[in-house]
Amino acid sequence: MHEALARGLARYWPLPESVHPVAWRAGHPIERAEFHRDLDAARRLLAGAEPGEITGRPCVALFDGDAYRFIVWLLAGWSLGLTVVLPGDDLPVTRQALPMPWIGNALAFAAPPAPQEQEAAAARAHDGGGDVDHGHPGLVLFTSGSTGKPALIEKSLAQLRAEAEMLEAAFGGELPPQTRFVSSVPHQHMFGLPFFVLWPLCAARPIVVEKLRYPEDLERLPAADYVFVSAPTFLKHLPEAPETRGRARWRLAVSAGSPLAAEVAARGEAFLQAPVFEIYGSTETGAAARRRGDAPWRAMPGVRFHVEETSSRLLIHSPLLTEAEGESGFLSGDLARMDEHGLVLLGRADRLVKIGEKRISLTQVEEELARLPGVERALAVPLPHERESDRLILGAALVLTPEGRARLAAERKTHFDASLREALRQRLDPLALPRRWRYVEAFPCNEMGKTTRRDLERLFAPLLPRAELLAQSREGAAENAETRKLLLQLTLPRNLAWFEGHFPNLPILPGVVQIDWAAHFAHFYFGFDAARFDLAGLKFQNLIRPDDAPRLELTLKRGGKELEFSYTLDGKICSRGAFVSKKGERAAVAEAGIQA
Amino acid sequence: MLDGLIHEIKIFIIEALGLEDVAPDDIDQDAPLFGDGLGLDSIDSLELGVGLQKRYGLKISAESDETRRIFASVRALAEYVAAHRTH
Repeated sequence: MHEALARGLARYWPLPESVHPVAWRAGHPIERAEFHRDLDAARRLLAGAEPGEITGRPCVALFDGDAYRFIVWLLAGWSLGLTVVLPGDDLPVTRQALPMPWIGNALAFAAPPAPQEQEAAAARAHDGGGDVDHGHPGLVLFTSGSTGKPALIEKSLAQLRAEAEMLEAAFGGELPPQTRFVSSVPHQHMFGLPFFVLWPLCAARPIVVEKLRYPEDLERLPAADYVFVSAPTFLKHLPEAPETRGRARWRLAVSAGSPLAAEVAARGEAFLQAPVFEIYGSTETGAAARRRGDAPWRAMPGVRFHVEETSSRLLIHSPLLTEAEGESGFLSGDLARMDEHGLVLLGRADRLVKIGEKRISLTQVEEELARLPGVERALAVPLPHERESDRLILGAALVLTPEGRARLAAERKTHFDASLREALRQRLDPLALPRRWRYVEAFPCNEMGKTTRRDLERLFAPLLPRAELLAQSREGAAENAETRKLLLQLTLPRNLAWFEGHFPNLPILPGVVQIDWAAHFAHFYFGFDAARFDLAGLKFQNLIRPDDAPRLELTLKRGGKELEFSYTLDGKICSRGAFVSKKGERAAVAEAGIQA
Repeated sequence: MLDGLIHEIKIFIIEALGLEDVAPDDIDQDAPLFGDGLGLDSIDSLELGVGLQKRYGLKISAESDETRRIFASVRALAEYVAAHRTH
């Protein structure tokens, strides 16, 4: 290895001499000498490339699915004073967005560069070595963008190194020296990178290059001590049978990325016979807290938490933040409270709504919904109340289990709704109880697999107009001859489900819907069961459009044996029809719309 | 007489509160309106109180014991309306 490289690296990334081997590939060690050869080759190749520029500094983009090559490229880039950009993927659109040299994957650093390039590269490599300080922005990453557009985050070498040291301080004490790190998560992101790349590098521990893809891969690991860097999506598939554990001796597992259910953590610990820690943190702050099972969160060494009083948001003070950031701390998007045992996280701040004067956590409502028998997955959707413009109500969109679906099929939806609401009452504030219930096979999602707010709201689009009783009358004394009349003023909600796509540029109220509404209100006010009658005398004369305010007149005749309905707009008839007794050979009329 | 008023009040509740998929027959006239049963909340109780005062010309005191008695069930509410309505 070049002296300059050794000096430079030692200055901001001192590799302990004891790293031996650096990594394991297919059960074989990659020794330190091979690592240095690869590093040298990568440096020469890199020095021959014209770097790009990001926030005014020379840079390259690195994407490599192979963890060992990734480390070699990363260290080579740093040793040349380059900022290494870590894109989340290497899709063409991402490559277009980052016009700079892309290294990794296709580019084999083993290939020797042309002789004249070699000289220039060697010269540049000499220059690059020494003049980089700890503040050197070694990495540029992008946040996951789950809250919107991905944001660019810079990390200095000092910050990265501090995080690696923090992890060793928090977890490293109990680990035997040659403990191997194995991972099931991508090493490009702000969980895999510090836990699977930087920590072992810094603590002189080897990594296993092959990523674990399936639980069976655990069985194939050779006998050794291991740390497992994983995520709930993998851990929840760990088998229950300990005899399939294989020869690995597990010392520790860490999980991040999504919430780790306590039962998944417990099963993981039983299978691995090692502690499973859930990690809380963010791209901005790095690792901030850890916990086992559903214990309260414990701050990582040097990290302090505050809960902002007005917003209940968690404020993180961490040695991993830059000095400027460290002053005020990092205001996270997570809600929290501190109790005597430690930190309790309460979900995302943007998932908090106010109903009445009460703060309601949508995350909490969803968790409670998902715990109900018969419910598999749940989303809580805040909806404006159609009647009172100043209050929100919650809608529940649920994917049911097979048992749940069977129960829903067997009873009326209203009763099923009520049974769920009743079960929730024990656990939620009355204001947080969902008022609208929708049962779906799967949540609507776009081509990116994301469920958008708009798609969810559409699920709750009203099916009925708002009705105001203008007049009612009753005539005829004899029970069989009684006639009852009802006049309703209808208000059509703007987002009425029936206008959607009927028709795309000319929304009109479908005729079958008008029949259905007449049947609905007849049942509502008179207890009239339209399904037992035939339709007769249907006439559609004028269209009803979204801004219209039609009136519906219902006339119950002959003591309930016939019902006439008509829709009018400013006294002008739009449509009319009647439900008449089924007897006789009346012309069959489609009953599709009559099931109220 | 009271039956008609009970039906009317059920419709009034459903409309005033925008209860979805609930028909008058679904409401048990003897079941509590708040807490169990219909599961109305504190905002609903205010809405309903204001709406009833307007519709029937009632005075419903802010005193919580009395309110609890009046809203104990649809039947209790109907009895109170029948006895105190001014229009």
